[in-house]
Amino acid sequence: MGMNKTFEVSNRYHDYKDYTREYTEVGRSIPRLDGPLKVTGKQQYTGDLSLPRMCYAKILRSPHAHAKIKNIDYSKALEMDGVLDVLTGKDFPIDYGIVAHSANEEVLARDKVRMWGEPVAAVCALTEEIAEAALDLIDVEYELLPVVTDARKSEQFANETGVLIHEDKPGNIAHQGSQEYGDVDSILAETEANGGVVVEGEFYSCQYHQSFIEPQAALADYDVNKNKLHLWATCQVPHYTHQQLAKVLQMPMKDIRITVPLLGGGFGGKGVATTADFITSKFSSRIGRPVKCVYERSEVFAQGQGHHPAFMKFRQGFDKDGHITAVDFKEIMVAGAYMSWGVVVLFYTASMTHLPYVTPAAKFAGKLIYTNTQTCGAHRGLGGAQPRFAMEIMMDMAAEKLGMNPLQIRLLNAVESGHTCRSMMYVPHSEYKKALATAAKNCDFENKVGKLPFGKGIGMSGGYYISGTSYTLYLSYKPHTVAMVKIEGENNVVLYCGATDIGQGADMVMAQMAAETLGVRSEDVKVESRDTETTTFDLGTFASRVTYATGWAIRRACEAANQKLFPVAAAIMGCRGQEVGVKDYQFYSIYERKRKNVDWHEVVDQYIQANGPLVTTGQFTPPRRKGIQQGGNIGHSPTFGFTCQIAEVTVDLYTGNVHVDKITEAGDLGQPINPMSCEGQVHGSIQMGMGHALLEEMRYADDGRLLNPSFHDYKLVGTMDIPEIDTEIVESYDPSSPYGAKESGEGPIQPTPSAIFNAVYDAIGFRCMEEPLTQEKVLNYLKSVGKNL
Amino acid sequence: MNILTPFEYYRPETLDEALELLATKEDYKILAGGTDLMIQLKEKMIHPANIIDVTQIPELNEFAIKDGEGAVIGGCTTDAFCEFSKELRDKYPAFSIAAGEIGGPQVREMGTIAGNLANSGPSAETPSSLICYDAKMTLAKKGGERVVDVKDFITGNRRNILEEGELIKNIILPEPAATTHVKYGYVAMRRMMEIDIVNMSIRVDLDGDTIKDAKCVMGSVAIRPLISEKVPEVLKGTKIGDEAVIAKAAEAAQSEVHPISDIRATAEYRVDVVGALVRKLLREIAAEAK
Repeated sequence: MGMNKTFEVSNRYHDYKDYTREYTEVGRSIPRLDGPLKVTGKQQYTGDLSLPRMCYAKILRSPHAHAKIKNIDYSKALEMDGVLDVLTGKDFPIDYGIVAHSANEEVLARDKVRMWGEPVAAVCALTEEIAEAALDLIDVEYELLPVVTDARKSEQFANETGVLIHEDKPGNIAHQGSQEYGDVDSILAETEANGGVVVEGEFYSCQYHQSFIEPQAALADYDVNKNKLHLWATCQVPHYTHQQLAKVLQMPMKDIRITVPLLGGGFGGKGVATTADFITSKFSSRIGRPVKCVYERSEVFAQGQGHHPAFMKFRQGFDKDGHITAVDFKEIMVAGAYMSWGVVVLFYTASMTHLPYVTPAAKFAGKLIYTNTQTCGAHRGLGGAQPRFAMEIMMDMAAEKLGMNPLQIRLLNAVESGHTCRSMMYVPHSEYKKALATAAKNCDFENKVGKLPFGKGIGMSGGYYISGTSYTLYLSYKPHTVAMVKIEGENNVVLYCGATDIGQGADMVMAQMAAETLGVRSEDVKVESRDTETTTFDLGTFASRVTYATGWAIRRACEAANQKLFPVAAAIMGCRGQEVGVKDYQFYSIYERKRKNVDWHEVVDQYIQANGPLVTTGQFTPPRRKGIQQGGNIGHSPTFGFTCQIAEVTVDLYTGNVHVDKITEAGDLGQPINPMSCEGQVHGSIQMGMGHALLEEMRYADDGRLLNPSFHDYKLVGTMDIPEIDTEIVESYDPSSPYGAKESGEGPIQPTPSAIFNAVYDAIGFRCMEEPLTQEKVLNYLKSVGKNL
Repeated sequence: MNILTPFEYYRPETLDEALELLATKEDYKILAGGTDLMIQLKEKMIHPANIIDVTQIPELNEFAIKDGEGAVIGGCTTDAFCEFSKELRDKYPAFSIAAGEIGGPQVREMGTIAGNLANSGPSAETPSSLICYDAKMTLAKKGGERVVDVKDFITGNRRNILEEGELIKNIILPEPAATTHVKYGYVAMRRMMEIDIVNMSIRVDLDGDTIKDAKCVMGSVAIRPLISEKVPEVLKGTKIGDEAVIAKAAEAAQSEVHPISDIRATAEYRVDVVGALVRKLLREIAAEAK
């Protein structure tokens, strides 16, 4: 077919060390260097920062979910002692948004509010107390509009009432899209005619929030002499926020610098610019003093940016042997009040139906719908979690109909290395089958499923995710990430890379990768990151792209440095430049290490004395592919990580409460750079996934008020609920990846809910298709079959 | 809202000093741990001019428990103390277990029994078991003390009989008979940091395997702890563990409750699990009595 496979799956290793995998730094479980500071409370997050003459900003938020703003009178607030400035929507005529061509978010609402908690005005004062008190003095005159919170009714609501959430979007349809790969209707009819089965279901993936510990915050310092802005922000995509600040504030990007102190979690929720970023910057430019704004938890929820809820209708065909024949997917996805990442997420859900099983034909018709609810955003597992929840339940439904067990049907369909999907998505490497078999073996799945006493159950699910995106959010051909290495006697190795550590441990992993190629200790590599001015360009932390993308850039920068150092070492040792290796601060001849070696520092000193400074760069841009149509470029990734999870549960037959007793996980994440960190990603994913399965849901009153904007009422899984977790990283190495590594932070969140749902089916026969699986739903089922105690 | 509005803070060292302050200061709130009070302050639900911290008063931190003589627990005894006291766990297990279900470990180290009672939240953990143990409480104010039954203390949602200038000095638990069984149970969405959907204590006094007397007190199903009238009627004179009686008792309890729907659960679910808890606790008592 003449496919342009950039990375062939073969033994085409990059060098001798990759072939033998004799790594010294990659694969080391190094405890996090930022760990002690964090657990002792010494780490300074954005909200902890303080600058001389700093002032405080507070945001006035709408108590209504849909209303016209008739008038805002803030004269009394301005008169209040200690109040310095007030901003309203009039001060921000330009909209922002992460996806440039669909950006429609207003910094402060201009003519109307479209969701509860939408920012309407902001106050800047000498103290936070004064700012908060001044909010009460702002008089906003609203004219209430009818509210729609149910996306399934939003189109009809618009047509009947004539009220639109966005005036330019008839039917409250933010976007709609379709994809058709093969004649799915005919294939499904043939499947049934030929003795196969077609399983159907209507699924709902609910709205949950990332619930990171650190609330969003921003500290802006505008230099009125130089007309330059320095913003410290809780941001996992500094580059995109940089662009949006430039657009909204009408400043050149060169005059804006964004620094990101360490983040206390992001999970995608900090993958957007926030109201706090804009108002602190504007205030600071107007009053000439630093301005800080720290969100309260209710504001974190009001800002939204959680998981996109989706109403999903699926039909999926399996031939009589259990092979998937086709998937038909109809979706209503909830955007919330504004677009944010919406259009991207819609198409991700379509793309994500093509994997992790061989799927010869697929059809998608989806609508992204505006409602008067919190704007949704990028949540860990973006666009994958919704279809995976449905499709892993359908795998079990199909297995049951075909008389197979859940492991067999997955093994039969699982993709292998070198797979090309109908949508042209290319999977260079997969050990998914190994992950499935390992997890099943580790918990004796096949001897338990279907055989446990009533009330106890076991359920399997698979998952996978991209390791980066092949395309940027705006048209650009520049490198997606750049790394720069500076080597000198005084500072050893300094690695510059703009990638953002949001708590996942990127700084540690980047140091390990640089140390591996340079032959030094990871702990000695100083990483300069998270700053748009003093480090190098990087798109940001999303799509599980950082390890793979920065890995290539770092490796290339370090190899470029080695190209300069190897000849110097070779000359000292008396061997050829091509036969030099480096490891443990020692250059050596790969043929005669014991006899021919030289200390790393000595070589660096000699190089610098002879040549001057040693600074090298590397860059990475993912490969593009030919033949992509129908918006199908979304979902393409240089490679994919895979995971399997098996949940064992006990259902309380008195109350319907589902307790997860154990989760067994096996993951194909390629070569782990820091295995301890990878395990942490899996544990964290399971904790979140359990919440999505059982507890978490943002819920709204009929008038659009968010009912649970606090951790009091929005329930996360607690430490006492965490089950025994058994993880195994299966033997895997992706030759397309700089150090064989693939993602491990977003794949593992996807199987958890469906594994638990499948386990509950195994325990009591309740086939629930709607998140979360509350104890009330379970008890109602138990009552309906007379099995409650 | 995370910001505290200004208030005057007092921390009396003696009971007399505290009662004097309570008698003279207007517009005050008593801080007896603060785990609910601080939230109410930050949420701007209350704006007291004065906060009187009574946690350091020796008389409110007394604890006495003796064989055959019940127990006296100072009002500012922490939830954690009641959870971990072996003597309380042995003699009043339902109360000790209930105290151990309040909030999380940090909350239980700060929170106190008097605070849990005086906050008078409908879903409070400790009142139902204290009522089942026939507990009394000493209320003190300048010029005198009075002893009241815990069952009469809470009158509504965050309402109680405390008068202006009065505080809870201690809780008095009578010695339970060997034939008395009290069980505490609750329904929540997760295993920690929970506001109960329903909680309940059941007491059964046995004569052999016959139920001589019984009590059932339910939380989170009414504006105050709901003391069942019908469950004791159903149980009295029956054999412990009789499944037909257990079913009737559960229905009786369900017929008495009129819970609300809220963010935690619907009214229908609450009614369902009231029945489930009655059945579960009576079965547990039957197993224990064997």
